[in-house]
Amino acid sequence: MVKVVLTSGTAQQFTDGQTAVHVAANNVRQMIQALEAGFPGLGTAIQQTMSVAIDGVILPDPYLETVNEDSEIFVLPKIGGG
Amino acid sequence: MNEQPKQFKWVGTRTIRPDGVDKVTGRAMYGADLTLPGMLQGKVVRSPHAHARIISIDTSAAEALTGVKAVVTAADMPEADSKLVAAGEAMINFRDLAHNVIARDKVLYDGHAVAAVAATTNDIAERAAALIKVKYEVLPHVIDVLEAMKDDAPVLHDNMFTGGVKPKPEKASNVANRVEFGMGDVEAGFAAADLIIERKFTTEPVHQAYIEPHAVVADMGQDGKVDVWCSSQGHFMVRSFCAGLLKIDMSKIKVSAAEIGGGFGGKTTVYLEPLAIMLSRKAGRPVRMAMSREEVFRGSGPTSGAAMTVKIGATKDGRITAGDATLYFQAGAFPGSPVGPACMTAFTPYNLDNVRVVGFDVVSNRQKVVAYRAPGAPISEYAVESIVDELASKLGIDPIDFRTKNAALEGTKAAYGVTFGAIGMQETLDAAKATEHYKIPLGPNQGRGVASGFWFNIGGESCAGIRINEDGTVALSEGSPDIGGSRASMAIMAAEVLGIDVNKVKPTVVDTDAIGYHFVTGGSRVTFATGMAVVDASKAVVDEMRARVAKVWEVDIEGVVWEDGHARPASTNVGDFDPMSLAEIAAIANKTGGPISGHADINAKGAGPAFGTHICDVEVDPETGFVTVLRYTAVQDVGRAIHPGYVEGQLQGGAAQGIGWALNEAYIYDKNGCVDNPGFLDYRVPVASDLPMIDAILVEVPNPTHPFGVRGVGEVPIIPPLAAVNNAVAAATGTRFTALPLSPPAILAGMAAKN
Amino acid sequence: MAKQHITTTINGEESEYLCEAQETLLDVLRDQVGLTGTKEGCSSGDCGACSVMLDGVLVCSCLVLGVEAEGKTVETIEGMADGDELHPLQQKFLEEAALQCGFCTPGVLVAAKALLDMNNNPTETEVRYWLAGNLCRCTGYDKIIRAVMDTAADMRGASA
Repeated sequence: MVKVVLTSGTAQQFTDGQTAVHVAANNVRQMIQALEAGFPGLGTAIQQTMSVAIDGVILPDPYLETVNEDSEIFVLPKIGGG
Repeated sequence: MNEQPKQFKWVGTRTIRPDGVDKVTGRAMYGADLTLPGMLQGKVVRSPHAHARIISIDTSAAEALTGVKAVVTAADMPEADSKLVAAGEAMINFRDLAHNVIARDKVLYDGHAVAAVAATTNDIAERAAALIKVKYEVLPHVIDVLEAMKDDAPVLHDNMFTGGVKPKPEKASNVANRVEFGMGDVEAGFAAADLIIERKFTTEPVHQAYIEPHAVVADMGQDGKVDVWCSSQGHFMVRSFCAGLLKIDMSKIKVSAAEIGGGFGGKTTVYLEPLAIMLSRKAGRPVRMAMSREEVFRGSGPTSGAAMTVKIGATKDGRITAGDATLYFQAGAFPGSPVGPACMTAFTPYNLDNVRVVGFDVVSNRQKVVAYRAPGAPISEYAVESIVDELASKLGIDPIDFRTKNAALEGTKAAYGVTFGAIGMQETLDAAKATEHYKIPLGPNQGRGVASGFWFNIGGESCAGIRINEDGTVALSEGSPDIGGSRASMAIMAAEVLGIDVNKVKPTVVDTDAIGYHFVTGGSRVTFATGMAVVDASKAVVDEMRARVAKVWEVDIEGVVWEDGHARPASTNVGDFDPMSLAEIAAIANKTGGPISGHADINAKGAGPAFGTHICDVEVDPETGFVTVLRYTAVQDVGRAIHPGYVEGQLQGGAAQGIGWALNEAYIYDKNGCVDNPGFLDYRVPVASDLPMIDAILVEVPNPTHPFGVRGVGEVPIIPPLAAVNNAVAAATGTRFTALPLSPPAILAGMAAKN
Repeated sequence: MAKQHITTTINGEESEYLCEAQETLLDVLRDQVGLTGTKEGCSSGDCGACSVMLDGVLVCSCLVLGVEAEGKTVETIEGMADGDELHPLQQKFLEEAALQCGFCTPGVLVAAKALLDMNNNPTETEVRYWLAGNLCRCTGYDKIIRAVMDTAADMRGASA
């Protein structure tokens, strides 16, 4: 199981306010699928509008990265810049 | 791993930029400088109303005018799909993008495009534009962000329901979205505080105010293929957006990046480009369009203005116990303000346990905002840094020492969640404290302000191609429009890896047909991400050259090393061979396997977060309220400066923009919701006589994920000035101000209220 | 409306063009003469990107009509270098990274040359006020001001 941390805004929208959720996944693709299955709409929202940060590195297009139970995983809005 | 500075021959030197001579002799070609045979001139018809329903558009009189070759309206653009795309800072809905390019059904702000015309001369195009009769039903409008949130406010989009809240609202409103970030227990944090300060702040929308107005030339042939030449921060973005909006295959659109006369985020979307293509398609001739300065202000995006409430608590010994902020950001006419990044950056210079930030993205009848340098961060960090300064002052602690007690360090968990690796926040504080500037005594009516700032920086898609020419010179291709000297950095990095003279490397920003996709020049990403692609491509070329030499020497590739621009035997065991230079290898390339090239196509990860600390001295005239900036120092962790001259330039230019934001700049609207100051006379950006020299101090804490340690540089410098100026004015006047800009009347009023 | 025939000297060469009475010198230079080094930033005389010399006087070419150049001399950025030899200001701007996007640069250089031709020992304040009509959004002016002052110092040294 991996621990995925959501912002409190995202949590209120999709997980009844639960900011840390646990899903079974070995990579980000599986993680997003599992989140979508557990919390309908969340996986889609992550793919469309969000980034995932793994161990401090923000990934704007997360997909194949491996994750494990020691990974620090945050779901964030996408960041661009001027 | 980072390579050691002592090994560098070119990294860190101040080379002459490869595009420099063209730019000091007038030869460089910008957006409006291209003329094609048979080219027409295009003009846009813009809404004179802040909010109105379009009843009808009569183009017949314009079309009848001699010399008019095409007129287009929203009816000529297919209705766009409702899908999200990345546009500079935030996600934007493709349908909103289409409706911003040309209004459909309703106009939502003064200056909103409603039609466009192409004619044989500018003069005829202007007369034709005046002949296009648009019948409007004027609707009530709303400009202010808090007014727009009221229940009885005119609603811009009757299909927009606030996102990010549960349950979903039943009534449409101007609040597009609510976001929330936080950690720890904010209430407990405040309970542990000895001093709590809470204030409300406002900032006004400010424009990027690049000196080159938007400009494009589009030419569509009978076969449906289009060539586009434009001033943009991303020619791949232009291709992607035009293809999507006009439903044309990407392979049929070739976009070339003109030299770009400034952007600062404002050229990360499209305005004229789709219209020029539509006009060219209809007229069968090339069309040039260029905005006037007034159109730039009325028809292109500034950044948000905001209303904010910020509350911070600290202990007597200067440790922050909790921070709480609520941010209301103007998005302009369509959703997509930078309130998300504003929330995420607000408290991030500090190592805090208890933080909560709530943000609202609010539409109103203003120009749709677009990215502006560190989108959102200058606004929220202005409010936080102003209160941090007030806390330090009330607790009797030096403002740099106060920040040191709370600074984010390696291993700190940022308020937006992630744990930092190697960062240089503390190093910027130390360097600031050590400056001569910080020790200079101040006179009467003078004050000194300090503020820090944080920006994420991004990576993203970049590519590079390195080709070794027959004579041993090097052609470097990449696709990031060069907005401030990036070709100089690319040449330096390639020369460093290849071990040759930097002047042998010619970097070119090539068109969208010639290289793979690049994300926009923005997010302080180019020297980091495109630089990483250049390094990878250069390394691939080195490996290919080693392989060629290995064939000649009849040894394994491991037997050949690359040093100082030469292939050499790895050891005496390999054999006794004379080193071969890059030029010698190039000369026999046809005999060893053909032309030599290397490529890299990457999605760069691991952009290093960056921090800066600024010091500002001001003098306030007590009779007029006029603020003079006396001294200014900008310190920043830049990872590693590839070309220090252009890195310093980023710090100095960002600081100047931030000073303008703090003191002068604001959109002003009349009672009808129309922009009252759409020109440089009334929208005053800092001029040379407004500013002192700006000392740029580069701190280098290398980013471990980049081969040379590069962090993005361009965005951080615009963040600290707003609060640095505000804090300096507070010190000079003894009055805390909470609204920007700090115009003379505002300062006089504030000082009068205190007395 | 009949176009007017204008004869003028541009960057030392006698030139002729036809222009409408209302056309600005800026538009004529860019669209008729093909000298696009002079830039349009505002067309209201506020930004200085279109700075040129007209009979030795620094003007915003957006505020001058094309017909007004009849019988006069016009100097633009394209005429600043002497063949392959850059003017010392141009060279110094490159050496000191005094430009970023480069769009304001032609106007800044034309204006700065006008100053140094008149006064080869300006104070920082004089340079700042002289160039106050040339907006630059990229550099914060620091490196521009230094480059102008350093060029002046070099020119004084060379003529001493």
